[in-house]
Amino acid sequence: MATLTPEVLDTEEPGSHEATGGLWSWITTVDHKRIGLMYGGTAMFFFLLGGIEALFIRLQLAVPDGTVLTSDQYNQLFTMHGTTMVFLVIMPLAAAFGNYLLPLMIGARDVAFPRMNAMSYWVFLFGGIFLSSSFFLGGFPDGGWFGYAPLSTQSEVIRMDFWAIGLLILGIASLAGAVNFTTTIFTMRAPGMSMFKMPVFVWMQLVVAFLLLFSLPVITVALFEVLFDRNFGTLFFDPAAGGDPILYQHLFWLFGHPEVYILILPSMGIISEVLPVFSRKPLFGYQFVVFAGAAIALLGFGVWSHHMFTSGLGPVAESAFSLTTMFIAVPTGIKIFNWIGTTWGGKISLKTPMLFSLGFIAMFTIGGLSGVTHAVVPADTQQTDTYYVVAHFHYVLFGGAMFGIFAGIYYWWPKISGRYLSETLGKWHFWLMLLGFNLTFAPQHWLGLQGMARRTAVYPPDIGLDTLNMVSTIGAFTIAVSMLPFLYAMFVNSRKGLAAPADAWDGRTLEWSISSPPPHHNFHEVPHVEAIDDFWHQKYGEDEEGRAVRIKTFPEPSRYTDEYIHLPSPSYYPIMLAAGLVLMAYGFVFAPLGIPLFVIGALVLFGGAFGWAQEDPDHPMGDHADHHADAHEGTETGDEAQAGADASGDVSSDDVSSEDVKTGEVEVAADESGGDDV
Amino acid sequence: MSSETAVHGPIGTDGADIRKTAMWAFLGSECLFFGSFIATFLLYSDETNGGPGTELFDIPFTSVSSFVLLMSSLTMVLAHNAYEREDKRQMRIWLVATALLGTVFLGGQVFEFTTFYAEGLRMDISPFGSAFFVLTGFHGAHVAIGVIMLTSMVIMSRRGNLHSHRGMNVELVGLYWHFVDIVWIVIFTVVYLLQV
Amino acid sequence: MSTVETTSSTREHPTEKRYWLIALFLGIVTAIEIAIAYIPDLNRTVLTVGLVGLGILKFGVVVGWFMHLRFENKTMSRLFAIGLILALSLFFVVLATFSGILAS
Repeated sequence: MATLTPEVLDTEEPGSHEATGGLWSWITTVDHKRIGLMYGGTAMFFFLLGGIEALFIRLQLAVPDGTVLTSDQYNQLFTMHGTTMVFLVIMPLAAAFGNYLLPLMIGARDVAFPRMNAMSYWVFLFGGIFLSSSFFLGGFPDGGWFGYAPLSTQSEVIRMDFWAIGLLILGIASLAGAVNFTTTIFTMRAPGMSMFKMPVFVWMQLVVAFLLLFSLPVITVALFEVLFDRNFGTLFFDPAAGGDPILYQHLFWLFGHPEVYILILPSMGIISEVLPVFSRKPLFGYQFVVFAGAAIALLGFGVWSHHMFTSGLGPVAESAFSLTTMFIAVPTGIKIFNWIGTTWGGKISLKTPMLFSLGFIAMFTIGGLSGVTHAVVPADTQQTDTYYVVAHFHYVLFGGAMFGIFAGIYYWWPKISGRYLSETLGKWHFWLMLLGFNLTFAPQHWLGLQGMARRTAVYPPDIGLDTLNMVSTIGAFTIAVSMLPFLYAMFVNSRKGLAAPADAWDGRTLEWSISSPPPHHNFHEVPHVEAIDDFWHQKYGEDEEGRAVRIKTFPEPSRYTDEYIHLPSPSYYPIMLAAGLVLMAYGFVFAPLGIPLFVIGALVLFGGAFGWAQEDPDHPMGDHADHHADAHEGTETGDEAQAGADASGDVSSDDVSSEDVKTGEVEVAADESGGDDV
Repeated sequence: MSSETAVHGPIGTDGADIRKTAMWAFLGSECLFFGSFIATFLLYSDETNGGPGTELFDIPFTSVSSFVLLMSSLTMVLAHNAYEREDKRQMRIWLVATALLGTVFLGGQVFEFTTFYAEGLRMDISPFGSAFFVLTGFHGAHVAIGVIMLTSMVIMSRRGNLHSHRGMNVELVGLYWHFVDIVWIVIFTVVYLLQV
Repeated sequence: MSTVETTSSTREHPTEKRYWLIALFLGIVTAIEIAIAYIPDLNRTVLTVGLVGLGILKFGVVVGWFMHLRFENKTMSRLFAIGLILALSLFFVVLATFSGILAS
């Protein structure tokens, strides 16, 4: 039986508690689009922070015997640069795209658990602040971004406590997000959208969610063991007592290698959406791209030990992991050929999103090829902990993941804001970044092969490292300069940009069928999907020669509707829960002085959870009983009732079985009764 | 409002209960969590660093507490059964019984830990001690969270505030509780019985 | 996925009496486990196989009936199975690398 509790209107009428303005409405929002924007904005801020850290590193290394930083400062900066870029930039940016786009692409009104989604964001934000605040509280963590024990367990100061607890907190955000996305994709797709009619971006988000689900718990355990070794005298990684630091390496890389795919797959999904649109061709080999993504995920769990070839695993283990590492290049290669095949013979339009996507393919291929060289154990032994490895993973994570993310920003910004970003500025951004990127990281291949060790604050003069290091530093500052046109386009120029229609690029997926910016409830009517790229097939047919011919033009969709559409109501419990968590973290780090803070945090956390459990998700912010009069008998909006109930997930006022909806039995129940308290 | 739909959460377009799908995803994730701790324990089961080892284990005592936790799964499933019949009183009785059995189990764990500490097995004496206490301790923490959730359910039900569609319902807490039980089945076999 | 069904899981669920019988069964299996552990001079392999086998049996019964995964849709059982299989296989390999089996 369905209940339509229509106090949430999408019209911006005064008194509606989902009014668009005001800080409070952002703090309590459970709208996946707003949460996506907050994720993106926060991650971009951390991107600038991490970039500044990188610039300091490059300044120090510009000339031999650099004196810009002390080696202690250098240790802190490279640790935080890595930790920030991985956990506070690329992962949350992927979450930002996932949040904003998943429901739009699968034809849903929200994710499965809107409040949990809000909690993920606040936990991420507070976790990021917690981690970064260590700068003012004794210094950044300084044990490297993978925090190898016993280095991470033995340093006396609290820095690595910040690191371990910070990552534990961020892990909670990611795990909740992964559960949420998995459930959303499995249970909330629009009618007719079978798994193999989903956009590739959605597939890649599903694969990433799986990787997170099954790899995060392992690093959680590794971090707990480090934390216990540091604070409670356990001996997990103390060789003198029989502990084994190699166990830490296993646990870290059991997470760490899937993590690599967690970082790259969302961008692969993004360019798999961009390339077809700007080539005006369907994605070449959809099934292959999907299966290759799944194969990468599966194999991604079986290659972790190639990070540990120099730890003495023994020849059998080394050979086995060498083989799996070579194998994983196969599905990756399949994808690259599919992308090239997509552009082959297409009507290519070199707009900024397309440029970044093509940049992705080229840079990622270079990074992928240098990655395969690590599979060869003797070669890897030479390359380990040199700048060759640094060059490799920047080619896949910057040239790959970040280029894909920029492609996505330029591609979907018209949908988000209703205005195009400037093409001129975008092209400056792309070409400067491509130039700067290659200047920075290409020389590092040679530096590494000449034996320059990573994580070392100084190198002596006259051993052939001077010139390339200087080139690399110049490149890093070129990247910094390339960010200026981007930031200008985003913050200054975007209000003056060309107004974008709903279907800004003649797109293929469902998000282009709704207004730009999208309505609060996403879809006036939940779409029925019949094919891959359903929206495209509604617009285009084929003539006798197989060319696409426009068969239908849609009127510009309105952002508003007269219908009342059920949406989950805002809640302040998610931010309360997240705040409790971070208070506990500060309390723990500063124990015993911090114990009262820890207790307060625990109480806030418990209060948040208990309030959350009891909150009626339909009107937590006070009494909205006056809206009852507006209830309409929703027989003819059965689909919307269904989507509304689906959209609210854990929070819908009642369950709606789809069959009830089909028969149009939609019952308006009084909120208080709820009808089903047990 | 038919009784059948009332006790279940929202259903997705694939016909599955949305929140149950999420719970199973979370439990799949938890397998790796406890798997990591159990692997740590197996690696360190002989690393006693000159301190006491598995000879301290008191199998009869642990068997009893294992049995208590196993029976709490029965009371949990009976609570869920009553919940599906919408028999609030029965449901609360079985929920309370489950929480009590969980508390007894926790009490047993506290007793066991105290005894071990008295006999010199501490978590800072050997990797074996670290692995044992942290593994069973995290399991105990899971049980404790379960007891808190069960108690909250009872309180919310008494206040007429327990809804199938809000937060956790009896079915979801039940899944969590049974999972904690099966983790103990593994721990009891691998950590206790196989090591003696 | 295109056909939409209402899950009516109540129908296939075991009855209350069945739950009691399952619990009795689990209790008996636990008793057998403890008995096995106390058989003096039992071959170590037999002991291990026996205990692990009985553990798996209990695990399966609780998951299948008490958690009624037998009666749920495939998505849920697959999600759980992936976690279980990954945990078993990954940590088998990790422990194998420590044991020296893979070293020679």
